[in-house]
Amino acid sequence: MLNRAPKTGRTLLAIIGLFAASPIASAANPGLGDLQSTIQSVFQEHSSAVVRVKVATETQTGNGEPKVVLRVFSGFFISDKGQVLTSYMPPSETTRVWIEQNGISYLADILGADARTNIALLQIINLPKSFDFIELVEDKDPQTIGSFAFAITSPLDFDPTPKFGLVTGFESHFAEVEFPFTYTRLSIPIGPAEGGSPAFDANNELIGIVMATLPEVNSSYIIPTKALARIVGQIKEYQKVRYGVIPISFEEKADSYNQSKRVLIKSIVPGSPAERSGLRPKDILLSLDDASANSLNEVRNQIFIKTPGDFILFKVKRDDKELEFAILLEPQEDHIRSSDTRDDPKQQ
Amino acid sequence: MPSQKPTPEAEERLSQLLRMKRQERPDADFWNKFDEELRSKQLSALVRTQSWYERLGKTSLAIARRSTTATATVSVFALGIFAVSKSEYFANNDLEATQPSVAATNEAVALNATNAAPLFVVEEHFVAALEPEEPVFIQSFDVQPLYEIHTLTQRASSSNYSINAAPKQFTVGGQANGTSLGAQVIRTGNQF
Repeated sequence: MLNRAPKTGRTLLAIIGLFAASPIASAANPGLGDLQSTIQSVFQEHSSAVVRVKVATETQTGNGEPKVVLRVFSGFFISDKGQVLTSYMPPSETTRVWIEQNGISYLADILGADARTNIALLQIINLPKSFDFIELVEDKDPQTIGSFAFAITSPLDFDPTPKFGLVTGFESHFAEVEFPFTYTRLSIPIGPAEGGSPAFDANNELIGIVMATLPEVNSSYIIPTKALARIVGQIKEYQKVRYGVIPISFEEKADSYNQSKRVLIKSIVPGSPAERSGLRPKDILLSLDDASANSLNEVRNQIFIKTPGDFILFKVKRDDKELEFAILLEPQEDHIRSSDTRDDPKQQ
Repeated sequence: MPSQKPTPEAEERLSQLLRMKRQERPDADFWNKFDEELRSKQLSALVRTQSWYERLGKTSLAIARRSTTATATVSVFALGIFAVSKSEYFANNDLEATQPSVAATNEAVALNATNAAPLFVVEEHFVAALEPEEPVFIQSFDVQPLYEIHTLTQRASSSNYSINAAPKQFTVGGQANGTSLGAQVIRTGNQF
């Protein structure tokens, strides 16, 4: 991270300077001394739960000779039973996994993994004599933009390291890449081997796990705790995450009349239950299961928390009429490929 | 009812029968069996049979009464051993004292591998279960680690943003080969 250090340093100094100079900040928060105390408090309370994760995979070179690839991530204990969350690793290709804490290695098994959210759950076989764990609070509310965020990472081969930044955004897609739910964006630069690190708020509570870095903006995405708890629950039960698929393509448009956003149905997979139910392209989404659906973030979050096989009640607006449709959330494995979607003819 | 006087012939037959009966004597087996039955009847009349739980209870009581001193001594010893085994000093020495073969195995692994090789802390039975299957893997663990991070970047595509399907890999020794998918390559040098 050497060639990035000066830029990162400037960014942090600017944040500190702005924070110190802001009259609002100084009124609401006593000052930098408290920020420093919070960083120290978060680090002291949780650093012993952060571990380095090493994954060895046996492969073959081009000459057919055996070769071992050793990859390194960060991770953290989430239970007193020795379960560790970290970055994704393919269980079938992984030869051996272990964690390192205080220079000692402990073998682990992979309980399950999810490539889409870049998450793996490990079970340490022989537990350390003492270790802390970080609790997953299932009903953890999302943070507000501008809140302080803290991370404890295990970069390269260094010991656990504190970092801090701000909560800077909530997105459920990155350009054309769609996420299964809304990720939280932090202004915390994340480097090699730091994926799988825990992030906290100023109350010392877990707000998510680092899943990717955004190098162009010195930021990172974390999977929020609420979604993380659901992922962990599914991995424990099914050894994977079961996604449900609505065979509908949505689009978000500005509503200039109400000065807000709204979500429209863009296309529906031909022959799918959703099409047979009567939904049509250009229907305006009003709610999903009586929950707000005014943005793609809300739509994806609502779909993610449902179980495949459930029905979701779509309330839509069509020609000034409000209509309701119960749409099946199809299991991902049964889903027809969305490349066959039938677009709205007027859009083409 | 008129009385009938027995005839002399009838009296003679009766006296012969009585004479025969007087001469009858039981054999020795009969008398043995008779004695046994008589003894058992006398005992059952004198002694009431106890149920099994009554007998168990009385036996336990008797043992407890007779071994009070011994039981107290053993309890004190057991408590002492338990307290010492749970002490910090004893716990620290426990692994070394009871698992010398594991420590030796781990040292061997550490010496044969690079600095990044793990020093496994495992129980003896676990080593026994794993080592026969994968001894070669541990011995040939001489590889450079790849420090990975998943990256979302626009540099991967000339037309639009995209996500890297495979995580970006960083090595200790210098710049990774291949085209950059967007994440900056970290030059860490050979030592850190």
